[in-house]
Amino acid sequence: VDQLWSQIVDFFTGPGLQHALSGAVVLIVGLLLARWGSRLTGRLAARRGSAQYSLIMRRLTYYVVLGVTLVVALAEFGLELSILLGAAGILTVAFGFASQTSASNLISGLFLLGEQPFVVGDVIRVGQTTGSVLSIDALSVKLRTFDNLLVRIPNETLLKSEITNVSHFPIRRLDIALRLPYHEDVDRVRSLVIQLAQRHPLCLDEPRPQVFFQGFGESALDLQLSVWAARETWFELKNALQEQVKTALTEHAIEPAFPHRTLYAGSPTRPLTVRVVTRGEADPPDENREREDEARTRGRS
Amino acid sequence: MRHIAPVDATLQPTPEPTPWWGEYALEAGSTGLWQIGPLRLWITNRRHEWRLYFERGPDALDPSVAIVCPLAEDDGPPETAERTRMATQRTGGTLSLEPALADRAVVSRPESPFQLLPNDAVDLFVSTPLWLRVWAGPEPRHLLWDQPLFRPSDTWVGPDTTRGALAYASRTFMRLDASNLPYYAARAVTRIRLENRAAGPLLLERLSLPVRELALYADARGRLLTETMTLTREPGGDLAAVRVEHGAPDRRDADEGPRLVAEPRDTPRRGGILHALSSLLG
Repeated sequence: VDQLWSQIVDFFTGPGLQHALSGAVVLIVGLLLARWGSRLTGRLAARRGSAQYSLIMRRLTYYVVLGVTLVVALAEFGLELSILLGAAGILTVAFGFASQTSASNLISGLFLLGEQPFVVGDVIRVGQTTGSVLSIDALSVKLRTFDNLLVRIPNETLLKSEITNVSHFPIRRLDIALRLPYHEDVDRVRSLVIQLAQRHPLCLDEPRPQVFFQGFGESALDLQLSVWAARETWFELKNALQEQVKTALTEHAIEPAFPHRTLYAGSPTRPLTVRVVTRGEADPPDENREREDEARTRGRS
Repeated sequence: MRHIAPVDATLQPTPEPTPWWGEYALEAGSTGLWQIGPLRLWITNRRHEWRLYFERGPDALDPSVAIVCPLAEDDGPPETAERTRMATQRTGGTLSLEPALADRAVVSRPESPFQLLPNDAVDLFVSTPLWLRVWAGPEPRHLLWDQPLFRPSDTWVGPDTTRGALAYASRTFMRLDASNLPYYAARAVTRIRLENRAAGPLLLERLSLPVRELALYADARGRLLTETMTLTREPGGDLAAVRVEHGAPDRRDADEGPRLVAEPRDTPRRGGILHALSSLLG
């Protein structure tokens, strides 16, 4: 007990306390400096560049200042860095095996930042998920979907997947499928929908709206109206133009084609006899006829 | 593919221009109506509040102008009109209506494409859509409204769909003769000097007019004109110098010189700016 007590007294009266205190001060100041510095560089970078650039600069400043702070603080605590680094070398092997996925994500993140298939604020589609990029972090990318859900996608998955950047170019094409019955006048429908597109202010005049004859479908002629819009107004145009096309087709008595199938029984089908029977005039049930029908059915089976 | 040409009402009679811009006094509790071409705008002055109701007709080239200020109490905006409310601490009743040019470049076409011969020059006349700015006074004025009289169609100017800029498509053709250009209440006229200094002919299918850099003037007859623009195709062939001739446009038929009614949206650049020909002529 005396030995322990003397060690405690030595710590508080000797240089140990001084080292610990100065190390703690360095750590606190360094952390504050890292946060303040990262915010400042983030703001400065945002003025000159994109949100993506600002994010990278903010993170870079934070981790660099934090790293320097840790090195200085450890030196103040009296720990020798060479010993720590030696131990870290051994630990790295064990740690490396345990953190393969994280390391892979980390490296994939660096590739994503370098290649820049998208930046913060872009709308991307990965598999079945479409959303706006909130952040590109060390291990994952965070998306906000249009129904306001947060989706985390690991960087490694992104690097391996097909990514569609919906908002990369300023304009975007909108395709509306039209299925017309075979008897319909294609030229009339084409003129009608092209005029609709040209009258809509959000539909670009150039590139011109076009109607493509996609082919002869099973139950319909397959046409496609393709128009262009600014990426910001694409959804608005999609809603408005589809409604207008529907209304115009109805007004001009142009019926959409519905799937139908003709059955062929091997020989020309004779017309069916239809007998209209009104209530009160119907014949009383004929028991003999019913019996005959039943016997015929049994004979067939 | 059939091409449906833009609407051009050159066969319609040209009415006399009616200057509709300027300052108006509107007492608290009263409403004014301004019909400028296709736009009908009702402005109500309420205590600490401006209410703006508007609706647009289907005809972009509607020439009618009518101003009723103040409006009878029974007359008011229809229920279907869109509305905007602006709150303010001030109770002043001065309104200032100003025409302005579009907030993007405007693309115009000749009735049919033509070629300008080498080492030759022509004057082109283009009418572009107008915006309306409503300011509430007195000084310092507050901007209440900055919207088009008729929303023009969007279009794209650039060599392909990945490079270029959004612009507006003009609904009227450019003309080689100013007398062929009818007056529209909702449009301003720009004279463009087109020079071809290259060895080959210059094909003109369309032209992108950077109207953000142009100031707007009104002549003595009440017609709205912009500064004149010169577009020179350089001898190399692929570049064009665009120069704005700052100051009132030259109108020889006017008794008085045109006077400034709206400054350009962007700070005008001195001297000629070289553009890729494809970015101006598509």
